Amino acid sequence: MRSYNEDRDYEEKSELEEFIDEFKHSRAWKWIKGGAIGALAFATILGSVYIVGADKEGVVTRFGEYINTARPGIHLKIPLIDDVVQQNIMEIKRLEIGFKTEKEGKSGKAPVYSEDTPELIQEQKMLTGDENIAMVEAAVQYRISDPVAYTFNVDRPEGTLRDICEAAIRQVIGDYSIDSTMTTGKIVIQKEIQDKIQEIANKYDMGIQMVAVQLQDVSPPAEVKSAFEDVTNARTEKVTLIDKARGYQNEQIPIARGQAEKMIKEAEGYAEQRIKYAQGGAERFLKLYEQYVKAPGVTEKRIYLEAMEEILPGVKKIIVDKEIGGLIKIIDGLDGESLIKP
Amino acid sequence: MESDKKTQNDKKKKMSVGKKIGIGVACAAGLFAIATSIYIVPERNHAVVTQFGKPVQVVIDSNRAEESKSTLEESIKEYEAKYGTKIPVSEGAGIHFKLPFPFHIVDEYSAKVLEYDSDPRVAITTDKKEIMINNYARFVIIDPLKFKLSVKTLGGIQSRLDDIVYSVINEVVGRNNRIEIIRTTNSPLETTEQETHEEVTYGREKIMQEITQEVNKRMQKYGIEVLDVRFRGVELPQQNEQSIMDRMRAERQRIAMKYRSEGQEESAKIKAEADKQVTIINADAYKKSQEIKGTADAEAAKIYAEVANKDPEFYKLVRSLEAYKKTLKEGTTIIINTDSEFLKYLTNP
Repeated sequence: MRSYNEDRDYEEKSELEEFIDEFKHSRAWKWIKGGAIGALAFATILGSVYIVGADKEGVVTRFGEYINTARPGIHLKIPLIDDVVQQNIMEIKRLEIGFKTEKEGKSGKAPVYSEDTPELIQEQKMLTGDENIAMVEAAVQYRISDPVAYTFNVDRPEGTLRDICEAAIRQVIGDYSIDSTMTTGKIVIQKEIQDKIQEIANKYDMGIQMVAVQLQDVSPPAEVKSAFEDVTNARTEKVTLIDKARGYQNEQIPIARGQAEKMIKEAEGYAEQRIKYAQGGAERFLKLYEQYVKAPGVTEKRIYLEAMEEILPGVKKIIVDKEIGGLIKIIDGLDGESLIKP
Repeated sequence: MESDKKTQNDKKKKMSVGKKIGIGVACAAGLFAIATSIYIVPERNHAVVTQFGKPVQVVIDSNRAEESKSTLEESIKEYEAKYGTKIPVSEGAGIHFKLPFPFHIVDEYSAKVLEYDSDPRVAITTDKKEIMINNYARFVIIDPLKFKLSVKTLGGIQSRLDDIVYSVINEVVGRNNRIEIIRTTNSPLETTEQETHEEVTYGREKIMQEITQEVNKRMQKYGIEVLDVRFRGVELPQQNEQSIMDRMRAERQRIAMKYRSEGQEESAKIKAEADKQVTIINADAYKKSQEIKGTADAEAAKIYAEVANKDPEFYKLVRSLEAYKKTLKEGTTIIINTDSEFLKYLTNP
């Protein structure tokens, strides 16, 4: 029994050994051996080399302790012991308050924004300094200025920044009236929000730098929108009314000026005429006078007669004696129009 | 004999296997001991090493080391006075050593700026108005020993913060008017309607600072520093919303009305001004034309006078005859007194 067993053992062993011997001398084994060593070497090299992108900085830790910051380029590290976290310090990151971009815009294509959900509406709602409600949509732009601080100092940095932004925007909006929020104050408000966010972020030592804050859309709540629109209409109406009045002004004054000019020109014409007539008359008299001086009595009589000849044929003549002046009343056919009492 | 030898050989073999196992176990235990006596503290973390529950070692993060040390010193002294054990303190992330497991156990606590968030809550202001405040807080664990002994977990600190922040907000807000919480400065509000606005003497920023200081003071016993308690949002309560909307609507209606009447006012002013200008232009023109005419009349009179002066009597005659010719048209009836100048010539040439 035993010998049989031993034989079997021996046989089996020798078979296995034979197989192993055979395998050890085969090419496949060499390939596997070489391959394994190569793979290990490759993995070691791969694990000890890393590349920091041109827009990034690498925060290097050894056994969890920060040791240095790697600039863009190729670097070595100890596999498994060193760890590198790369932070993009060039990228301008964006945070949206009160709205959400669903699809980024491409060239020639505007971005698509999501519908206002109840959560977004709640986020937009802000109390203004004059206790009105404004719906505010803002975009906050920032970048990582200190990758070490950004990596280590704050738990959930993006969530923290969102908290800061909401607090800062609401605080600043709460210090302005709804009118300045919607119109004239925008630039000042944006700057103030930006400074406020930066101030709070510095307090938490977040390692970020604010780039810009933009108030995208500031509008009244939907419920009172029509009342606000009516104000816009009223303002337009005011402008229209004033424009019309200006039109009236622009029409009436030139007309009046024209008329004035006409009146003056007429007067000037009259003046010219009057003087010319006077001069003419004077000239005529002088001419007559010359003759008169030569023969006063004759000329006087002649011109008198000439005048009478001209006048008397056409007129009705009633001659009244001085003594019977009262008779005028009884004269018939008197129309009373041309009563001349020299 | 043969079989004896074989058994001996077997025994030898067996012993060597046992030895091998023994060596293996010893090696494994050694490795385990080495592995568990090394611990890594990552950046922005504190660690507290305990020996069967009793703190024996503290590692603090290097970022806020000064603050940490000053409060740690106190809590360590207190602890030493109580239990008589010394607790060494080391600083900075990286590799640290301790006794192997199970003698020493490490608890790590984050040294990052941590967050606390709460649901919006209504507070009552001095002027008996309600205001809904939605706040958050940021804090840092600076004394891991105190933290471990008093609250142990981040969950625990949240509920303690909740209690304290809530009561401090109520206290501070209750000391201020509502406008102080809404606004930060007393800068004039630019509104369409000229209203008088409530004066702001304190403002939101100072109120938040006061709350932060007070919360920080009360939270110190838990080994944390509260950096900031901040209002994420301030709202008027939901039930007030309808009245705000009504007020806003009424205000806008007034503004719209104001614009419309202003338009009419301005328009009437401009038109009246235009009419006035027209009248003035007319009057000026009349005045000027009359002046021109008058000057001309005077000039004409002067011309006539000059010639008439040569012989007034003769001029009178000529001028009279001229006038007769013009006035005594056909159909005119003339009554002539025998005594008149006219008849002087007619009857008595």
